[in-house]
Amino acid sequence: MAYADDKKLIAATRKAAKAFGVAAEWSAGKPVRVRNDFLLEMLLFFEVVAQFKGTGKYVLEFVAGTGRHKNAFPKAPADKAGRPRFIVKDFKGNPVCQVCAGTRVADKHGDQRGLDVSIQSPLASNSPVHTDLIAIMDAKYKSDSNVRLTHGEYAGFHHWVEVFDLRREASPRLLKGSMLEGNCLVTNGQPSTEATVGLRDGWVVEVSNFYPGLTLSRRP
Amino acid sequence: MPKRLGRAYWALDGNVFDETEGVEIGAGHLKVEKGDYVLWFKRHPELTFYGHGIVEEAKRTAVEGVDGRVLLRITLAGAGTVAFDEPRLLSDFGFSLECLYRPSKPAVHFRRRYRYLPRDDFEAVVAGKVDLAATLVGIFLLEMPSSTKSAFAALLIEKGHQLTEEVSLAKLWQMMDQYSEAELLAGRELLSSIRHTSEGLDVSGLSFDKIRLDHGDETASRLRRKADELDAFAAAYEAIRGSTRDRLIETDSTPRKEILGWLTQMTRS
Repeated sequence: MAYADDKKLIAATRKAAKAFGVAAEWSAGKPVRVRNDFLLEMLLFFEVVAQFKGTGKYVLEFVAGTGRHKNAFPKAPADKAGRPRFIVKDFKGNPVCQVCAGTRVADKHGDQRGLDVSIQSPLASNSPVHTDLIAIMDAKYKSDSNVRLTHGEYAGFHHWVEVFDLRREASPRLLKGSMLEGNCLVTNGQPSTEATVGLRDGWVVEVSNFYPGLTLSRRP
Repeated sequence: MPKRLGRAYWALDGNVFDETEGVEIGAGHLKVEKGDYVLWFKRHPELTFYGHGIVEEAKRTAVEGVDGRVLLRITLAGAGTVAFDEPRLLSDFGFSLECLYRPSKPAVHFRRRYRYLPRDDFEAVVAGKVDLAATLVGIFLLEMPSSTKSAFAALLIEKGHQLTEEVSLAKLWQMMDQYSEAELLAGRELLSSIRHTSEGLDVSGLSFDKIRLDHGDETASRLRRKADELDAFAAAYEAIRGSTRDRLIETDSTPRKEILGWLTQMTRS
């Protein structure tokens, strides 16, 4: 191949490489790594809120955080206070729940656990406990979308449902009929091989193919 | 002057030596002789080789009254300089010439008005023969922030590749492509969905432009800015992705020590 062609390709590669250098880090020393960057979690958070809107039964209110957290969503589990969240209300203006991202909540034994997305009762305070929860969700990013949720991931989430005492039919079914109703273990990958009856028994829903361009599926 | 074995190859600053009546230099300097090959370069706007030729005569005349200085006049054989149709940018050859120890800043090797070139290097420039695999991989690695390099090196090891000279450049490029796909392009898709979904909520007080990702160490990044940067990367990368893949797929050459050094030790380039 002649030099003239190489020259053009090299110049275009230099441009792409410079753009790579700029895009590859959030800031100095922080590489963009999808599985660590809370992006699937953040998408899940907004998607849950969108599902509320989609039912046509609720009104959304965005509650900004305070100070430098005004619009900042935490990458690692953080306190609820001062963080942005949504309040979901019915048409009479009565709050029916809060949707929070990356919030720590105390389980029934008092252990603090960071929840990717939690749907909390309207009365839940800034130090929520397990009785404030309506449903929890966890996002698992797979760098290969053909990979299944592991048994360990399923078991861990199942355990959370247990220690947050969410194995009950009593939770209000606010998102009835939605793909994201219930305690959802969400992934861009594929469902685990856990028996469907086990999921039903454990009050766990697996939502797979959660990724732009893929068709969501859920089980049971 | 003692007779040399064989011919020598020179890169000469054309502004100084090309078609001049004579240039004053130290008597023992620039031992160019009849039959040697020369490559002309100019420095502006960037160091570029514009032609080459064979020396017909290198005439040295003593400068009167100055000891140890001569006036050198170079005449080329035949029709003189053969100009390149496509001038060769030194920066394009940074990873292709043996004599360049700093591929990222090859011009530092041309600070003087002339320099000796190894024969292979001379011929590579004249033939316009770029080591494309080394160049493209090298350019990307040079622009990689060190945090990304560590992540990339970890990915290579995770996929079972040794960071030795045995890893082929084609494989390195393929792995960089996978890295771009898995991290940057996937991140871009997610950010674009987050944007779409959050804007679709249409609630007051929330705007994608303001949303930030809190890194948990007192710093936060604006999603909008990252989305724009990733868009810019995607566009620039898409423009080369197909042709680089086609061109590099068959190469089995392996990287120079310097390139691997950037990955394994994060040394300065």
